[in-house]
Amino acid sequence: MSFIKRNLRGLVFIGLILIFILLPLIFPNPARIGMFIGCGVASILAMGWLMILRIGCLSLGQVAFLAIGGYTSALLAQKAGISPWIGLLGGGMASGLVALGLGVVFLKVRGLSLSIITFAFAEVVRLIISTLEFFGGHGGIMEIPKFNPLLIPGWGIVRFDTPLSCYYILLLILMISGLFMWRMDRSALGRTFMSLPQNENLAQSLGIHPLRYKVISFVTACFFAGVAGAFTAHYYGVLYPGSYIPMQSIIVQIQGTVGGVASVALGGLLGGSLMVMVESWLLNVDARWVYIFYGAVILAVTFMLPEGLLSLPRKIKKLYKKA
Amino acid sequence: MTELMQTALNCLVLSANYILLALGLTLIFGILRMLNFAHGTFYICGAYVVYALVQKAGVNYFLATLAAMVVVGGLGLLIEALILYPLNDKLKVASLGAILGVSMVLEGVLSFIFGGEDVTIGSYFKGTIAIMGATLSRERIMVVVLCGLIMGGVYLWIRKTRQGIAIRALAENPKVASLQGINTRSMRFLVMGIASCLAAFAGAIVTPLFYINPFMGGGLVFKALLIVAVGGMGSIEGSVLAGFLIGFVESIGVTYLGPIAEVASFIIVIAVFLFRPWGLLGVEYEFH
Amino acid sequence: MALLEIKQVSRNFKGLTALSKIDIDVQEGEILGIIGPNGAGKTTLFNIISGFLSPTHGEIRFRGKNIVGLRPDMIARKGLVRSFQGVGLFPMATCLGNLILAHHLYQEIGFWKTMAHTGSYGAREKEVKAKSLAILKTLNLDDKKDMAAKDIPYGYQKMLGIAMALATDAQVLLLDEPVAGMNPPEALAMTQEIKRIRAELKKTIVLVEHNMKMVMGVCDRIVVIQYGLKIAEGPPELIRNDPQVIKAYLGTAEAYHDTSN
Repeated sequence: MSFIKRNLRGLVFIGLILIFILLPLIFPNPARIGMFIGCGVASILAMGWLMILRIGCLSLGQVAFLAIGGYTSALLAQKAGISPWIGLLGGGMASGLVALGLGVVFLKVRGLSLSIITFAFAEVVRLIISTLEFFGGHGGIMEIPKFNPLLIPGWGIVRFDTPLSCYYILLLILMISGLFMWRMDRSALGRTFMSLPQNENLAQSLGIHPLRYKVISFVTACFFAGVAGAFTAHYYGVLYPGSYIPMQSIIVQIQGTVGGVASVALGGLLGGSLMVMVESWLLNVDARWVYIFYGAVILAVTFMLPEGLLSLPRKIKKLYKKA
Repeated sequence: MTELMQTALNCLVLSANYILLALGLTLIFGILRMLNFAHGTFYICGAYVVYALVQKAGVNYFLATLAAMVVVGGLGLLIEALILYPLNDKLKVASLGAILGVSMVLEGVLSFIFGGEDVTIGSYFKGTIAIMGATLSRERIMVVVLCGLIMGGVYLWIRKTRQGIAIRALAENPKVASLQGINTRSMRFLVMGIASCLAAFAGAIVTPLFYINPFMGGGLVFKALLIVAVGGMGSIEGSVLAGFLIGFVESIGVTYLGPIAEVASFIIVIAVFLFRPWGLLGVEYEFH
Repeated sequence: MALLEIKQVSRNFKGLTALSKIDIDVQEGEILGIIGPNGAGKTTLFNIISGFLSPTHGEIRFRGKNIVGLRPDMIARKGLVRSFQGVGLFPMATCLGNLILAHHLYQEIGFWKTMAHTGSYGAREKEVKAKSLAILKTLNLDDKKDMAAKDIPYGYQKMLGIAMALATDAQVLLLDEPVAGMNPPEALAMTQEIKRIRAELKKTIVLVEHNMKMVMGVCDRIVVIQYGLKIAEGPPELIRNDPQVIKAYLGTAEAYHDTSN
């Protein structure tokens, strides 16, 4: 019993992963699978957002790194003939490197200024990719190569041109990023991250180099966002600058907040998946509901459950104890 | 010559628009210590009230503008009472999230009522007049004049009236101001109301000139943010100066350099917030 | 050679001179007190020594090497650590969490090793946790170990802050008003603890304080700063009778004896 209690979050996470593995077999409808893929991408972004929140930064520009990853991988494939599989890594690294370069400069700033800077940066990225011909301009990039078949020992040649097969690629990416960020969050690193917004001076006086840790968190989050972005490039086959408008970054924030700040990995997974599922359903009903939905959700969460859905069990327990 | 004057006029229209928005933002920031990300949506709401009344109900344009100011002003007061004041002592992220939520809900509602496509109403001040040999649109000139009048009014109000002085005191040092008997709660309402009115007015008077759609608010508020950043949070003069600057960069820059000029504006924002978060003309203070 | 040498340190802020040519030598193993009226520049000096502020002129030598210009975390790494006035804790973290964080220098073994939990990571985590629990026990805080640090009583908070500074294993502790706001029994306990830290753990302590009874009782030497200038230096008996100091700060002998709280 005690083992379960101690590792409850970890076990829930593994349980969820198992469910995710079986999901497309239970719901084989390609549209559904497409939605699940959307959930996965959103989850990775939301996890990164929460990771950055740990160090005290509210990022309003996460989609910029989705874009950087996507465009890098797409262009590598189109112009240099690089395999999409390598492109995944390439997209991640491009995002990571940009995050590194920016981080060492931006992360010295705190609070609202930093949020505004992340937002402005995202807009800069969006404007550049929608203006310069090299990035395809307003129309974006079309005909991006899909994932090429792989020779997997024991299985033979596996093709990846169906939503189902791509779903499992994303699932693998999700698992890797989720586990990586979960491990980071729960280790001494995560502890150190959390100390910074509480009392940065004290942290320094205990030997913690604030910028180093802020950059580690930021680069990790953006690296995985970049990998996710590269995945979307090769899955959808097109990239369109309109996907990276500020509203999308705000949606990431909402998803992360709804999920819960208690656990980076679980909160991101929960928030991202749940919101995308509702959003997909609403898009079928009437696209205009999406704005109202997200707006209402963030208002509700702000007033009723500011620490997200993950804090619900704790709050219910408290009410229970009072009764 | 005509082209130059027309470009100058366009620049003025843009600047005037931005300045009105920036004034409201700066007022709100000074008193509520919050960046009103819904400000652009107030602007759009104002525009839509005018559109609805003029286009659908045949109401006179001036009356419609006044109605827009009243409606959106009321909206601002409601938001302050129900959302912003209760969240006042929570973390800033809470009010940030909440105001974003408000803006999204408003945009969604607008898109339900009016649809998502661009709409406009026809010019009110039709025709052109000739100044110094250049043909200039009457509408645009009136817009600039009216904006100028309103700006002048706001400036006088801030500088000369008791309330205006109280607001400046409150913005500079809330604790001391409240010890002097300034009622923070009513000041918040006042400022929120006036700022939303300004936004509504700005939106209302450009409805004849531009196309509007429910989702323009986002882009606008970010421009206004830029202006407030560059000009200095809480600085009226700064907002005016920066408004001219950004309006100039955008109209001239975009005409001659293309959309990449917009990138320059955002890079300016980044630079300002990195090195001088209190803006070029603002008063240096602890920003967070 | 003194362990910590403050040489001709000056600091100006836009025309205001906060510190002017301060010279202080701190010997290894001593307890040095810095006193002076409010605004005299004491906290500025601490900020400069610990790396949060740079001096306009002058040098700070720690074990003979100049530490001016080093980041605060690098100075902490070298063995010089400070406590803070007011909130000197991580308010949202638990008491246990605070202490574990204080062992950061011991636990910092590199990014990949930490991520993979390989090598000494697991062992050190256990060690740090055990040490922290032990410290909490000696502070009588073990029943509050899972409480948020901001929720424990003020006196305990100050003690926890000192314990955290100790956990870094630093050689020199700069304590900024360690007994501020404490009632007499708490101040006494803190004073005993400071004496113990020097005697048993052989640390060197520099403290800034306003509580004269405490300062006179615990310090080997005292430095008096007024308007950014050092106006006196010496053992407590000398300082309490120095006419300049009395005029500037202590008041008359009778008034001094009355500050028994």
